[in-house]
Order: sequence, then structure tokens, then C-alpha cells
Amino acid sequence: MREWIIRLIAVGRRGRRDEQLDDELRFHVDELASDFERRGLDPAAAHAAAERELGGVDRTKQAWRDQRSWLPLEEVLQDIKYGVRVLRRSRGLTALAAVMLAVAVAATTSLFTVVDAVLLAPLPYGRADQLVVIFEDFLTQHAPNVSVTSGTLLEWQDRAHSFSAFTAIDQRQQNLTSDGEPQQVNVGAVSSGFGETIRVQPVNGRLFADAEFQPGHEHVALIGHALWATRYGGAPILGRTIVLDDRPYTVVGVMPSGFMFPTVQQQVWVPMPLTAADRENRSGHALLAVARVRDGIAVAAADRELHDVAATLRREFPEKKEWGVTVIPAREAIVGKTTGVLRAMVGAVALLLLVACANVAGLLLTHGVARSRELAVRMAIGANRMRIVRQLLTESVLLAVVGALGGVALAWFAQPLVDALRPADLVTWKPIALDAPALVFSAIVAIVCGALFGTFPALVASRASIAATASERSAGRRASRVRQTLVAVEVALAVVLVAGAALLSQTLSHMTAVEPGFRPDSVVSMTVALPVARYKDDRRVDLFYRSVFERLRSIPGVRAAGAIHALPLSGNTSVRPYRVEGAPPLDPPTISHYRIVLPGYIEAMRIPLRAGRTFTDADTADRPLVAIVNETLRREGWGARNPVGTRITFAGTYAPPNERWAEVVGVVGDVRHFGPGTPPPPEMYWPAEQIDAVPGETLRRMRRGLTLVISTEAGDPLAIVPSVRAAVRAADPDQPIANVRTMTSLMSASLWLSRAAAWLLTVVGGAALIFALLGVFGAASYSVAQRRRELAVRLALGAEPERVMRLVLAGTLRGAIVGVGVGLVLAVALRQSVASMVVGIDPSDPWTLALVCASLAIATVATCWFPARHASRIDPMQTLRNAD
Amino acid sequence: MSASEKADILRGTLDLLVLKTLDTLGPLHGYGIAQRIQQVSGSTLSLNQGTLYPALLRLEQRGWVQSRIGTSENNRHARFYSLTATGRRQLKQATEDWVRTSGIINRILRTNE
Repeated sequence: MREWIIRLIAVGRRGRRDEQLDDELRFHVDELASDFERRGLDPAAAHAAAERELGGVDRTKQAWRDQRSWLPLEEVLQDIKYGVRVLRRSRGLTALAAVMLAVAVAATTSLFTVVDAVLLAPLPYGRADQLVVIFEDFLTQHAPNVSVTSGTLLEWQDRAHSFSAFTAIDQRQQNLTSDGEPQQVNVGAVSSGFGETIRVQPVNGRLFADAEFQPGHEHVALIGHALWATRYGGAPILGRTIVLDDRPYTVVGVMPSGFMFPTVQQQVWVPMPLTAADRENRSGHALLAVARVRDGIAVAAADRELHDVAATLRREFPEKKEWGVTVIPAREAIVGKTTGVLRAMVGAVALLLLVACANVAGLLLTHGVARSRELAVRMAIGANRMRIVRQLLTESVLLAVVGALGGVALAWFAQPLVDALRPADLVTWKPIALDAPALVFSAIVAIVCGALFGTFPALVASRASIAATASERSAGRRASRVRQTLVAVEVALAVVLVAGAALLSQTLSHMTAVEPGFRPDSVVSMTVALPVARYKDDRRVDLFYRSVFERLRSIPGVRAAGAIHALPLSGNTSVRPYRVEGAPPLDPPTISHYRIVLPGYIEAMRIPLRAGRTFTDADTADRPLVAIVNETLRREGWGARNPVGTRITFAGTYAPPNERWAEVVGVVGDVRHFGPGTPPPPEMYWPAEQIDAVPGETLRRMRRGLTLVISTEAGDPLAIVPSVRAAVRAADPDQPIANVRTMTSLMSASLWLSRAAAWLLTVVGGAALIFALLGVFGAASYSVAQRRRELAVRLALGAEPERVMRLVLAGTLRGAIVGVGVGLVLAVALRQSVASMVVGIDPSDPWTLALVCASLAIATVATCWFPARHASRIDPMQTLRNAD
Repeated sequence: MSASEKADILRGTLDLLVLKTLDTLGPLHGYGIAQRIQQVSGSTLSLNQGTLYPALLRLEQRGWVQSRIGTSENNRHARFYSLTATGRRQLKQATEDWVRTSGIINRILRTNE
């Protein structure tokens, strides 16, 4: 051990001790020689004999040095020193290669910071790999991700043995009114498996006790770290009583910072007792179910078991006849829609890195050939081929390290850009930052790249030097061929990337051009959540909204105001089967999305009215039921007939009692509820005051938590928010508003993923294009330089300059054309998979691709033009005279 | 005696011989150590004297010998090696091992005769 430490320290330190060894050995030889002289040898013979006895002075020195330090490492240091000298000597090459690598590494590293935060960072739960999110699968309606009913959850819990815990979360927005300003908070009411499911301990206090999941004992709360820090300043809080929706809860614990369950900034958790009534509820879908797969059981096996359970439930319960189950691993459920796009981006950036590597390899290759004389000399004086290869590899890794340093610096500067592109609702488990893992990653990328683009040129160059300088020209020709192959590779990859970028940009412009079905400008939205304790009576709810909206409509600058329970682009929706009067009941029944609205909503969103009328304040609970349908629903339910005046109702278990039908009073335009990439769903609108006619606690709850939508005359709609808050306060002083968003910002958020992908791919594709053209230019110039003498002879013998130009162009263009062809095939193959990742792409459009190829071909010819013209203008006399 | 009949130094025993030499004679330069080993062995050992120097360096790196520059008998600068305390312990240990091992080998060789 000690020996090795000393030897490692001695690496690269050639000190006095080495010089003293000379003295020591000379002393030894002299003594031996004089010994031999005394025995009668003449001085010269004695000296020779002494050296023989020692076994050679140089060999001894070498053996001594081998012992002194760790030789391979010493050689590596030597190589590095030499490499730095070489790179400094050829500044142009170093700079060009380093810049290309820096751009590629910067893109790679920036993307890695995102991937690391979204896909790689551990979820904030114990053994998160065992966690699954479970949905009910509405088989007949092809809706696989429907919220779970409490009854179904309890059946699963009783019958499926592959799970160690199930927990249901009921996400509520409630008003926290104790200790200061009323504040709307996210409350997760969780059922009894909570602790075992999350396997996380609070930083302070405890999780819920089993007894606290019994009805009547559930008035305890765990609070999130962020809420604790902001509202309570991190002061001791255990045992304190907080008031949520007018009900007191005792705080029993504070969850760790960064803990989320599920992925909203859920700030408070309370126990949710599930009662006998909940067991009977098999059709009110409102819960999010999360379960932990038992130790030692594969997720796939647990999935199968739950499917079997679902099959049994289909037989046992009529309400479950059309329902299956969907099991999704937790991470996938959380990052689902981003994963595909991130993967596509990783692919794109990897391709850019490859292009950069191929380009640098091309540069090094010609550089290596130019150095073949130097290498030949080194080999002649005893360096073996491996040593030369190692030297060249060291140089390329050095180059890569320089590139990586530049790349990290670039990535650092690009960080604000990454932040700007990041959507507000992107779920990450750690900050997106240039942290230690990102730096380690870019270091690995640098070394792998260095090896990647260094190996091939090093092998070619070292073989060239074996053949020695005599055949320098044939080596040059081989390098030329290899370089053309590299050009082909670069061009192919560039075609793929540029085609991808064009495709995405085109898709994005399509999506931006898609009519959302409403006018987002000058519209602001915000949520209210009326506490059930205070608003148990539905009439009180009506009164609250009436009083708020009366005040709102009298505010100057308000053009129209209404409310809806599931705002477009919010990701929320509600679906039920429906029936049109006179039409035979269908099995399975047709379904429609439905929206509970307050009068003024259609006007505030400026959704076009196609027929009939919109809702008014006169559509009250005691009046005949009315509904409005959108055009898609009109087509599906009525065909060519006019629905206005006919009647509609919810079907099956959701049907209102006593055959109550709602008269369709109006038809409105379609709204792209799920964003521009998804076709508008069939929708019907119901006035909130009349919804009590329809059974279901869910509906009642939804109308207590509406999203207010206010359209202003002009200017920034956010300016109206204080007046809205005042109006709400006037109606109920304890009532806060939350989630203030303009419709414009919701629109741009809905396009974020496509926009970020298009933007990134445009940058990456542009860089790849520039790199590829640089590669083409380099290859063409090199081939001209290489064939200078030959071209001069041709010109001297009377070849037309155009012919010489064509000669030069043909050589390089061959590589480029092969590249375009291969790239085209790859691009077509990749389109389908990109299309499956990004919503709204039309992969069949051939024109984009044709355009990309054509412009790339033109760019390539233009790039080759300059070296070719230079070739045609070679002065034969001068060239041949100067030839060495 | 021709060279081929000389015994090569057994692997690993050079260290032991050097340590023993320094133990017996005190601080000594490389040349002196080489001469001593050859004298004592009665010129029956073929010592490639060059191998002595890496060995000395190794012993020094292990902390068994130390060295300093001194003046030789004929007034020349030379590096003198001497045993350290650890070196002395190592010598004792290695000698015991050697005696035990060679004893065993001798016994085995005798029974096979």
C-alpha cells in the first residue's frame, strides 16, 4: 500500500533522485572496473566487463524507473503534455472542433438536466418502483383512465392479494381560514392504506393512526412543508388546530419538503374514512387510487391479478358490467405525456452529438494524414503502433475535454432558456440545474466522444505511418474515402434532424392555427371552492354565485362573466351516458361530456351560438330543465335534424328520477377542450341551478367548486382580479379565490410540449445542418489539396476548367448524395414513431421531406462550389514547380 | 566454475539477502552490498548486479531501508543504505519464514530420495 502511494506520488516527478542514480551507477561501475583492473585487465576492457557485470547501465536505469513510479500513468501524462502542444500548434482545427463539440455537449447536457429531474430522479416515496396508479377502464367507451369509485376500490382491497396497500385520494380544494388571510389549499383526503403506500415519515410528528380512519375521528391533518414554511414560518405546529372549510383539524405532522402525493402541490392531507355507504358506491367515479405491490411480486403479476378481480366484479355487480381496470407504474403515470417527447429529444440530441463526432473525426483524419511524416519518424525511432494510437487517442480525448468544458459553459448560459421553456405543470423531483450528476454526465460524454471520434483516425493515421512517407499519397486517398463516408453519415443524420424539425414546426404552426372554439384574449379565470359545511344547502350556493355575479357585472370593464366546473384546457372533464328523447336506448349507451355552467359562460368565452339561445338567470331550479349541446353532440345525437326544442337526459344509473328531461334550447360551436391536438368532444351544458334534478353527490360537489370566467373589454384581464376578489369577499368574507390564469396563458401552456420540441429540434437540426455543410466543405477542400498536383497536370494537358470542377464536385457529392438517400429512408422510418410521441403530427405529408432534401442538396452543391472553383483556377505551372 | 552452474537467485530472496547484509555490515553503498553477497556466497550465486538497484528502491519505498548520501572509502560521493527498525523486524520475520520453508522443502526432498 505504502509502496503504491509513494509510486503514485512519484508519477511525473523526475527529481534529484533520478540524477543521483546516474552518480550511483557510475560509482558502481567505476569501482567494479578498478577491481577488474587490479586483476590485470586493461582499463577499456575492465570498464566493459564492469558494465556487463551490472547488466547494462540503461537497462538498470529503466528497471529502476519502473520501480520508482507507475509507468503507464507516467506515459499518459507525457501523452497529455504532448497532446496539448499539438492542439495548441494547430489552433484553427482545435477551435473548430472544440466549438462543434461544445454546441453538441451543451445540448446534451442541458437536456440531461431535464431528463435527470423528470425521469431519473427518485420519486419521493419509499420503494417507488412498487407503486402503481390504478384507474377504472370504461371498456365500452374506450376510456381507460377513469377515476375510481369507492366501492370498487374496497372490492379490490378485499380480493387482490398482490398488493400490500391500497389508498384512495380525494382531491379537494378547501379554504384554510384559521391564522390569517383565507387561503384556498389543496387537500388530499386519503384512505387507510396511506402510510404503507407512501412509506415516507413526516419530518415532524407522525402519520395517521388506524383509529383516525374511523368515521368521527378523522379531524387530524398532515401539512406540507411548503405551506408550513410560508403560512406558519416553520413555527412549531404539532397539536395546533387549523380550520378547513369551517371544520377544525388537529395538525399531527409535517411532511418532508419535496413530498407530493399525488403530484399537485398538495398542501394538506386528512384521513378519509370509507363507510358502508362508500362500499355501495360503485358508479360515482371520483377517487384517484394508488397501490403498493407486495414485496417480491412483479408489477405485471399484480396487474394480472387485478384484471382477474375486475372480471369477477363484472359478473357480480350490474354497475360494473362494462368496467375493467388499468394499472400504470407510478412514474409513468406522473410523467406520462412528457416521456415520449423527452425520448424524441434525447434521440435528436444524440444524433447531433454523432454528427459533431463524425465531423471532428473527419478533421482529425486529415490532420493525422498531414502528420504522417511526424508519426513515421516517431515509429522509426522506436515507438510501437499502440503507443502512437494511444498518443492520437489522448489528443482526441483532450480535444473532447476542451469541447466539454465549452459545452458546460454554454449549457450554463442556456439555463435560463431551459427554465423559460419549462411549463408550469412539469412535475420534477429535483430542480433542473447543472449539478454534480450533470457534470459527471458531460464528462462521460466527452470521454466517450473523444474515444469515438479519435479511434478511427488514429488507426488510419498509424497504419499510414507504417507504410511510411513513401506512400503518403495512397494514405491520403484512403483518408479521402473514409472522409467521404463520414460526410455521408453526417449528411444522413442532418437530413433526419432537419426533416424532424420541419415536421414539428409545421405541426406546431398547424396547431397554433387551429381554432380553439372560443376567444382566449382578455379572458381571465379563477377557482372558488365553497365549503360543504357552510354551503350544505344548494340554495345557499345559488345565492352566493348570484350575489357575486351581480357585483361582477356591474364592474366597469367587465364584458361578460360566467362560470364552469371543468374549464377547457384545464385537463378536467366529466362524462356521462345520455339519451335523446324518442331514440331507442342503446347498449352500450352513447356518452357525452357535460359541463355545469352559470349563465354568461358562453358569452364570456365568446363561444359562437349556432341556434337557439344561451342560458339566462331565469333558468332556475324551479323552471323546466334546459340544456345546450355543441355541434359534435348535435351531429352524434340528432344527425341532420334540428335539436332545438327536442329533449335530452342522462341515461342508465345517472338518469334523473321521474323521467325528467331537459329541453335543448341552444346549439353552440365546438370547443377544443383538450387542446389543439385533440378533436373536440361531444359536450352538453347544464345550468348549475338545475343540476340538483340529477342524482349524484359528485355533481353537487362540482357546483360548489366552479371556475369563474370573466371577459374584459380590453387590456390586461388580470387587472380585474382585485375587483373580483372584492366581489367574492362581499358575498362571503371567508371565501378566497385561487388558480388565477388568463386563457391566453392556458392556451400557450397547452402548446408547450409541441413548442419546446419544435424549438429544440430546430436548434439541433440547424446545428446539425451547419456541421454537415462544414464537413462537406472540409472534405471537398481536402480532396482538392490532396489532388492538387494531379489537377494541375490535367489542366496543363488542356483539360477544361469546368471538367476539373466537375471532377472535384463529383467526388464529394457522391458521399453527400448517398447521405441524403440514407437520411431520407431513416427520416421516413422515424416519422411514424415521432408522430406517435407528439400529438397532432400528420406523418403522411411527403412535401416537407422533399423540400428538406432538395434544400439540403442545393446547400451541399453550393458548399462544394468554392473548393471546386478553387480547383479549376489552380495555376498548373506554379503548382508543379512548387511540388516537393 | 562456469556460469551455467551458478545458482540463480531465488525469486524474492534478493530482498532477504540485502536486508541481512545491511544488518551484518551496517550502512553500505550498492556496490558494497553486491560485493558482500557475492563474497559470502563464494561466487556461487550469479547476481545480475543491476537488479540490486530497483530492489533497493523497493525496500526503501516499503520503509525497510533508508538512504543518504555519504562519502566512500576512496572519498567519492555514494548513496549509503541502512536498515530501519521496520526493516529489522521484517528481516527477523523473513528469516524465520525462510528457515521454516527451506526446512519443509528439505524434508520433502529427503523423503523422496
